[in-house]
Amino acid sequence: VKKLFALALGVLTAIGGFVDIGDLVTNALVGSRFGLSLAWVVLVGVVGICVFAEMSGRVVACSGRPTFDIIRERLGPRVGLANLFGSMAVTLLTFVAEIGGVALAFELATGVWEFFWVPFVAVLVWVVLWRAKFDLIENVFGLLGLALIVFAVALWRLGPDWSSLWDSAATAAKPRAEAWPSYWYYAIALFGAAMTPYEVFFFSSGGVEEGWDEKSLPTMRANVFVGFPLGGVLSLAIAGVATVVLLPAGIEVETLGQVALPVTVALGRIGLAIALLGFFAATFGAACETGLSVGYSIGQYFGWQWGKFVRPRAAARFHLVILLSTILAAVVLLTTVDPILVTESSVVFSAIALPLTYLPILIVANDPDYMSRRVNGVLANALGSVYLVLVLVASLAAIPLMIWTKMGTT
Amino acid sequence: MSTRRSPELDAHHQLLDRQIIDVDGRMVAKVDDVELEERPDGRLAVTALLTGPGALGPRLGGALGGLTTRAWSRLTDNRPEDSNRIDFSAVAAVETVIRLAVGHTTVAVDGFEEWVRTRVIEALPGAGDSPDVGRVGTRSPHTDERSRTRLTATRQADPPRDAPARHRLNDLLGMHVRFADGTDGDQVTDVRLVPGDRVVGTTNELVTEGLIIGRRRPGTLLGYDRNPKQGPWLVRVIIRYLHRHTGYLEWGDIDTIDWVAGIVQLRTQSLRTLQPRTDHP
Repeated sequence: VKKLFALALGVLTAIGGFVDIGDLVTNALVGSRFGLSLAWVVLVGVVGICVFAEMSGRVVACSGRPTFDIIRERLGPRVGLANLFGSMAVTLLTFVAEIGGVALAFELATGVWEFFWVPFVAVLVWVVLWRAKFDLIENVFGLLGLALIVFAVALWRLGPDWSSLWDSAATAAKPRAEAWPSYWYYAIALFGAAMTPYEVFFFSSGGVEEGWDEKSLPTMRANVFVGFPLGGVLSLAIAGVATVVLLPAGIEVETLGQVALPVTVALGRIGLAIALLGFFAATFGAACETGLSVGYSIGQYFGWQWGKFVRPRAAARFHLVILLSTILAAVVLLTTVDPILVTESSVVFSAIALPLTYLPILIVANDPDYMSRRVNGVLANALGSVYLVLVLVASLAAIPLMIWTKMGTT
Repeated sequence: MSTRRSPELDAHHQLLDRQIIDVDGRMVAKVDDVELEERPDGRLAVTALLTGPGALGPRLGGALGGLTTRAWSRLTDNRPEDSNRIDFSAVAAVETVIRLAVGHTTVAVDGFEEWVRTRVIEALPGAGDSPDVGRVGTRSPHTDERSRTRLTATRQADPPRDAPARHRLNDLLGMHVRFADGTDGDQVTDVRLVPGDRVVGTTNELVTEGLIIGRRRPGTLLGYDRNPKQGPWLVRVIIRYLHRHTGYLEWGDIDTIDWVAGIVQLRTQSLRTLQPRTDHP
């Protein structure tokens, strides 16, 4: 029973922890402009993160080596360092977006200006990263994140014309008012939101924190193959309610309040309250994950002691990095930059940076030195290769499309 | 966690950049470079693992590498050509990680960690003062003074005049080979090591067996030239095409190594075929 409970807990936190500020904003924005015509990208992205996370989880379970150990060992110190700069720039951008998201959620709940909340949220994030146990962070925010199921309930209560929703999703029918370049730009944004690099840094380092070995593989796979797709369903529900409520009204999502608007329409103030709880949990949990990921990755590149499984004084440099990143994120937000805009760019830059982490993991998952007999099978390699091409294409196409569409505004 | 290996070990592929872990499982450093000592028979033996900015800087190369080394030597009173050093006798096993037979305080290569801990982290509330908590050991305050003296001792001391010459692996990697007739070949991309007869500490020392020669192109470290069955197909085909010129030299093929000019002078006229590693199923 204890084992079953642990398994269920893992799956539930994987569902609740799947959605972050990038998924919230991008899915709602895309739903409000393109309906469900880009739903297929969420599907592609979710399968992608499953393939990617399963490989990195298996590498950790078999060799004990998390992502940035692998990157430096396979790419060498020079390319590895360039990779570290790129990946950490994107992860810090995501960190800023998540902290901004928490502040926005507080603003929606209290009516007090978001930037008032920023220093408070930053201190709170740091205290949690400094003091709280690893599994406590993962479980509490993962479970609270399940509040986002309210979006699925709202979709059901709105009683949409299911067949036309299905039709627009299945035929990928772009609304006539939108141009193709924007369509593809948002396809990449959704892909980046589903396959953010920090998710893999955090997932694989978390494997070390929790001491995975080969016996942990079934649990890890259950989390990935059940939890992530169900998290993807939540993403689709967010896009779905936006399609039903915001698209016909001609509202393009520009604030976090508009993301929650369809829930208010369907379920009233109770629904809004639950959605806000979900926003808080999802963004706060992801802020912790991104903050840790910066410390993990830099520690792994330089070989420092890192992790929450030792006391802070035994991992001093790791905690210094976390402290400095949290201060940096707060300072960036206090320039009164719009967190939604930061989020929109963070998901696109995630797509750009993805090959940097994807390729080394794919190669090491095939290396018997690390994996012994647990190297990739035929299916993992077939999917892995297809996604290698997809990830490269998305990465190369992102910047031209970004310029062409002026960040999707045309 | 320990996978079966053939006795040979490719230093660039399987030793450099690996994580070093102490006897308690605590992460100590990366193998930023490897110290090689000349032996009477002309082979080189691994005598130490070099860590820290003094070893990483030269490997990064360019302006950034130079800056790293200079900044480090200024901040720590070390000479730029020094680096932190873990004697190979402290190594217990070379796996996907390098396991030490001693605790991290004994090798004492983490001066920056110490500095951050005493100046920043311990000033904050709740850093975990009692030394017996946490999964891996923390040190008692009394070891500080001792470790500082040890840190000095781990620096590369000037060897006595008649001591065998010591080199860095990074200086050997990237050297050009020159064939017996004077024509230039490609570069050293890896150095193959095998366990030698001498036992240092708890393991046999590692001595050079041969050189892998190729062109420095992306993917040198991915291992596809040594394991022709490694997937996925798409990556293998591309990387193996890029490295189609790769070949092998046995140590006996080498006449002299000119460490100043960076030239490996050969007795032979051509490279051998790089045999696929035999330890993979």
